[in-house]
Amino acid sequence: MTPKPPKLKIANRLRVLRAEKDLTQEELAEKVGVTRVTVNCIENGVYLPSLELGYAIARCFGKPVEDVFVLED
Amino acid sequence: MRAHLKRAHRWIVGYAVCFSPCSLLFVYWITRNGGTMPEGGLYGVMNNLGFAWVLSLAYCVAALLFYKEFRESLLSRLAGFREQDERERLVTAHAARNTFLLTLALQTVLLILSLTTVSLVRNPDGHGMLSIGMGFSSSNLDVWAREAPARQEGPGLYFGGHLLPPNTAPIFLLTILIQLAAFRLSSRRGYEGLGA
Repeated sequence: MTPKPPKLKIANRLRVLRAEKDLTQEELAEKVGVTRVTVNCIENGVYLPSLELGYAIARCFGKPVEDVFVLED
Repeated sequence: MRAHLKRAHRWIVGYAVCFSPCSLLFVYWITRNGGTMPEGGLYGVMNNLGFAWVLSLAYCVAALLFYKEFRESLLSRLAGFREQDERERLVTAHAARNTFLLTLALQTVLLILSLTTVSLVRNPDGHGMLSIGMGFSSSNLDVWAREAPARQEGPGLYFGGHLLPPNTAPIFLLTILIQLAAFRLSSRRGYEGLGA
């Protein structure tokens, strides 16, 4: 049986960064090519994005990915 | 060549859909006239259009089975699939998994019910006996039988028979096997890391 990967808690600073850039969820969603609901789910921690989408979001804010998604202890 | 085929496919499907109301009205009108169609130019034309409609319907049924693109566009719209981004694709995958397992379970239950016989016997001394059995016989394989095999008659038999028509068993078995085979075939490459 394949061992399960450890459960990591990953928070994000999407709401803060969005406010800094004065971006709505709709506008961010359009920039990274997802729906507004998906951005909302990521922001509220309901959905963890793929690595690809994570990097796309980070690039959108001009920050490294670990500044947007933070690993919590 | 492929573009021509696609255009022809769109025309045929469009004709099958758009001519349906006319065709149904025509059939209704003929039925009201006692099932006979008067001779004449317009009726002949309608008859030919109706025949073409039947052929287009037959094409649609075949395309549903063998034309993947058509099947996916039609049935995913019908089921309300939303796959605009990765989260929606994940939601769809979860929903499809649950639906697949539920359908498989339901078909298995129906298969078992079609093979199960129940008989309730009332003895002359007033006591009753309920017997439940399972069996597979050649009558199960006669899918095109007009009626299910007759119930066994016996002294004191109060109720006896199959819970479902026994000749539906091969159909359930076939659909279960096709679903399992289709899933295993389409998921194998993905599980091996070779792409979906």
